[in-house]
Amino acid sequence: MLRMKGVSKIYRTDLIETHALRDFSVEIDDGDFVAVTGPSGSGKTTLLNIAGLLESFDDGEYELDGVDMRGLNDDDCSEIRNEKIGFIFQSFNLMSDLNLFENVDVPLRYRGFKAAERKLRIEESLELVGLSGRMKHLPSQLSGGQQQRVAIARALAGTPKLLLADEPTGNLDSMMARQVLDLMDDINRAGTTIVMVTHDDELARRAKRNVHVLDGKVDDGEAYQPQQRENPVEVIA
Amino acid sequence: MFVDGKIMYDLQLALKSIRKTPVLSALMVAAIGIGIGASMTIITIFYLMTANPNPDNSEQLFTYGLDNRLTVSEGHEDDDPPLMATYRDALYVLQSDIPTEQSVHYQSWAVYRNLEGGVNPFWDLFRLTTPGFFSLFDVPFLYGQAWSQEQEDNKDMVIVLTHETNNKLFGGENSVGERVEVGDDFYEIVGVMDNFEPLPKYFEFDNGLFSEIEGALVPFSLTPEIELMKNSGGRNCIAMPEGDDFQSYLDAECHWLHHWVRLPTPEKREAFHEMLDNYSLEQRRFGRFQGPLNNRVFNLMEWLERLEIVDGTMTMLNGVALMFLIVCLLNTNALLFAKFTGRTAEVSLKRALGCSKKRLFRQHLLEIGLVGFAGGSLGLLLALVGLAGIKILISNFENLAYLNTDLVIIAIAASIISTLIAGLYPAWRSCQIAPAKYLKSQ
Repeated sequence: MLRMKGVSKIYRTDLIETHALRDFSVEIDDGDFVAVTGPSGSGKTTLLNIAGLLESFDDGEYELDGVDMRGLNDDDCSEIRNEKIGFIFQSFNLMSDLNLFENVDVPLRYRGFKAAERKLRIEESLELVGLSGRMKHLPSQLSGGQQQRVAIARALAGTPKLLLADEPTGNLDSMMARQVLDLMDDINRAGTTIVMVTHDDELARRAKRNVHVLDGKVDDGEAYQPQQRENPVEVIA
Repeated sequence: MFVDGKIMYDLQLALKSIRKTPVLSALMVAAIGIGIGASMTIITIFYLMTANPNPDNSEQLFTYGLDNRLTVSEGHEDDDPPLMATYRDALYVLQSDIPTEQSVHYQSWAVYRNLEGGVNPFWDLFRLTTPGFFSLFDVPFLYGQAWSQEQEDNKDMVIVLTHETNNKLFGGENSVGERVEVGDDFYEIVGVMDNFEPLPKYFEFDNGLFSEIEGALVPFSLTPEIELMKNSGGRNCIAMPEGDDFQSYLDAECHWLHHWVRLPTPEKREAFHEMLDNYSLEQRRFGRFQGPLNNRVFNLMEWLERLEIVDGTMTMLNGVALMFLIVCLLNTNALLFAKFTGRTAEVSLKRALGCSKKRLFRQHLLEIGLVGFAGGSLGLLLALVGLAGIKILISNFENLAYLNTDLVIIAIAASIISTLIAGLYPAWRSCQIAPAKYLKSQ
């Protein structure tokens, strides 16, 4: 599904160069559920941004779904993001002036689906997250957990192959966080590959596999280890 | 349909975005509205002043200048000849069969009286003219028609009223066949004109190019009979009349008549010019036309150019209006920067969800275009107020200060285009935001 080899990313200012990722390599299979962990500033979010084509990389190779991601133009990146990748953010990132239906509709509009198909997809994805009865509500009328579920519905409506989640439960209390994680488990079981950045060890334990990032590097020597699912943190730094 | 659907969606988002920041949007609309309103007020006057008042015939309508100067100082050989004709020269040119139609005319004042009574006598302008006036200048008729050439030649006491005069004297009824007293004479009404307000009133400049048409018109051939001098507008003499009687007034070397002819082809124009030159050469034998051969033939637009309707003040006002619009657009530009800067998180999100830079740029431009449209509409309202103010302040502009369909379209288009220009850079900058940059911090 996703293969990075020797990927580097450097942020440059007039005074300083920051190596966010150094010679970073990882392979993630179809249907995997990977938790990316590591201390603040270790490069987790940069990894997620590059994986989601939200940022370019300076060196190395990156293949997504068998397609080389090097040298793509903005239109290509936008199209791939729209068709193959779903995003879930810590702060939900819903549009406050659009209701739930319209929020989920946004990526589908950019995809160019006809109205009938959009409606079907929106209803199905909101049904999946248990919010089909609140389509006309504005995000401000929902709890944090509900808002994150809407964000998940938005990410899923386009049936992406890869779901990228950046601290998806970071702004939620434990009960709501559990609900969201249960939902992500279901999504993964249905076949969607998930890469989730988290600080939370408990969350990381729910993933099938962990990748620990430190100083922009990873040593992912472990293959899929389902038996460690409830006893995780087989981390190599 | 697919493309239409995308644009409709982007339009919906643009409207939502405008509503989302009502104060900022209102400030932008106000800035553009004030700029467009002020500039359109000035431009409207300018546009109407310089518009072709008779586009269908302007290439065929000509007036002329005969250079009958007795002495010419050095360096002034090529000066424009007088733009009006002497009575004697006009009568000569009237005999020519080169033009297919001709109109000689001048303006005077008289008291109008209804013979039936019931209406107070009133002073008004009237015009003495040949019947060619009505066909040359496309005068519309409400009742009756112009007098014939035969009636002109016979010096019949006939008159054509404007519909305003007809309203005053006859309550708007068909008055053809009735009689009316104008000055000291009685005339039979042969026609009542419909609304006729060419802007500018290009066929003469006696009472101002933007003045209303006179109350009535009578045959030019009556001039020596009714002995009405030109009572308004210029009369420029290069030699004083020899006597005090009316015939001396007519024979004097004074320019006071407007003379228009129709010359349908370039050959006719050339032949007419040649005829004028031959006439000048012939007149030299009688002591006239002592300067160089310097006669001119002007078509309508050339004539208006000679009159210099658009003077330096008007050009300066246009410049000021344009500068004011630019200042307003710079304000709009700053406001758009503020708006788009406050929207970085939304832009990042849209980019993350698959919106390309191009599509995002188009969304921004649609929003800017909508603001421009609203600003243009407000500008039109303000321009109407401005024009109303000008009407009150400058009476001569009463007929000039109005907005026609062309100007409404120009105002809206100018507003949208100028707002788009002001918004291009802020919109472009907004689209350059790296999609990842603000997603985490929202």
